[in-house]
Amino acid sequence: MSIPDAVALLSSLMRSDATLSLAAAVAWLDPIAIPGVDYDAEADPITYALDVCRECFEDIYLEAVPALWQGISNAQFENLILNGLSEHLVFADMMGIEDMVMGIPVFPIGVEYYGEDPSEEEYPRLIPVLKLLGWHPSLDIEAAQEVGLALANHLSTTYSGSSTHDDLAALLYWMFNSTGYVLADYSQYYWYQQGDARFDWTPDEIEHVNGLHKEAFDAHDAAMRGLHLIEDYPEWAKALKSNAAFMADYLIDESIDSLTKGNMRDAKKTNRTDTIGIYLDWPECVTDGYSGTS
Amino acid sequence: MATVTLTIEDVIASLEQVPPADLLGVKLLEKRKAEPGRWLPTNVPREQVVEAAKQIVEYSTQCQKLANTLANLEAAPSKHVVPEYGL
Repeated sequence: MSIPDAVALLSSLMRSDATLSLAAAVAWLDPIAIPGVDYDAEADPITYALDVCRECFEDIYLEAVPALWQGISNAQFENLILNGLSEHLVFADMMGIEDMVMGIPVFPIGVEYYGEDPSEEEYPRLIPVLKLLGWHPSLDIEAAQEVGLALANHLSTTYSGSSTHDDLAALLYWMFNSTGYVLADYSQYYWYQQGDARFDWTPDEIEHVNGLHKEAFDAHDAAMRGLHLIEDYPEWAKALKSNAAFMADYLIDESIDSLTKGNMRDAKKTNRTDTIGIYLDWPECVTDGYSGTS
Repeated sequence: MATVTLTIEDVIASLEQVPPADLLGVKLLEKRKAEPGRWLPTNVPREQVVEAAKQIVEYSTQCQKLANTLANLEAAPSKHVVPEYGL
């Protein structure tokens, strides 16, 4: 008897026993379910990807297993997994399936210019806005930050519900890491400096990270609309400049010392920024030609 | 002295009466034509394989949950005396 014939015979004998038949079916259709199979996730990214998909993305798993039996290449398998993940994750940018071992991909989009001067190369579109806020290359960024956040508080409380004013507030909050949304406020450098930024592949963590990305991307989209407003509507840039100058003078005043030293976002609870609202002048809400897209 | 009403052999015999699960994957394996040199089939239509895999994944998951439940059963009073599990 030849070896192929022996395999066929053993295979048919297995089918005559219910337990062995079930074992063969599991090996064929759900290989990751077999307990006791130990493997090194870094050395075996295909098995790890299947393991993750079986736990969290059953539809991808059910696509991948038959495809493997049909003999797809590693590259095709990788595409199948990564395309499937992009359907489930708000952010799924990975170089390859070997990146999956690092946990759910995370993309912090916060601005980072603390500790060094803002540069034209890094933030070419934000530098003009910083200058409107009174910043100059010879000055510390903190003064512009205080002015920017005070204006953002004023805009968000006084003009709540106005998309245009809200977008400008979103821009100012985002520029100074104060959106309140963790992935919009952390830069990539600071995020990974934390050291404990890993999220494991579990359904709960996936939902959590998707939520973090969605709120951060929404905040960023609003900030980009605010940036368009400043870039495309000269009256808004002019208003930002004059209001920033007024706010800077106001903040210097010792009578509002607590406002300048305290948490700027908490300050709105006291309505103290609103007291100067009557002196700040903003254009009307833009309705025509304002795409609001980034 | 308590009278033994159920032996471990009885339990095994009882469990053996449970019919095999009706699974498409097993049926597909039974119906397959011989493929010399192949342990597992390669000529089953993809749609059927996906459907069978979905069923097997559900079945495997249920079995794992059941095994976990059985492994953590709490003691309960019973009229049956099974000597192998007596205190």
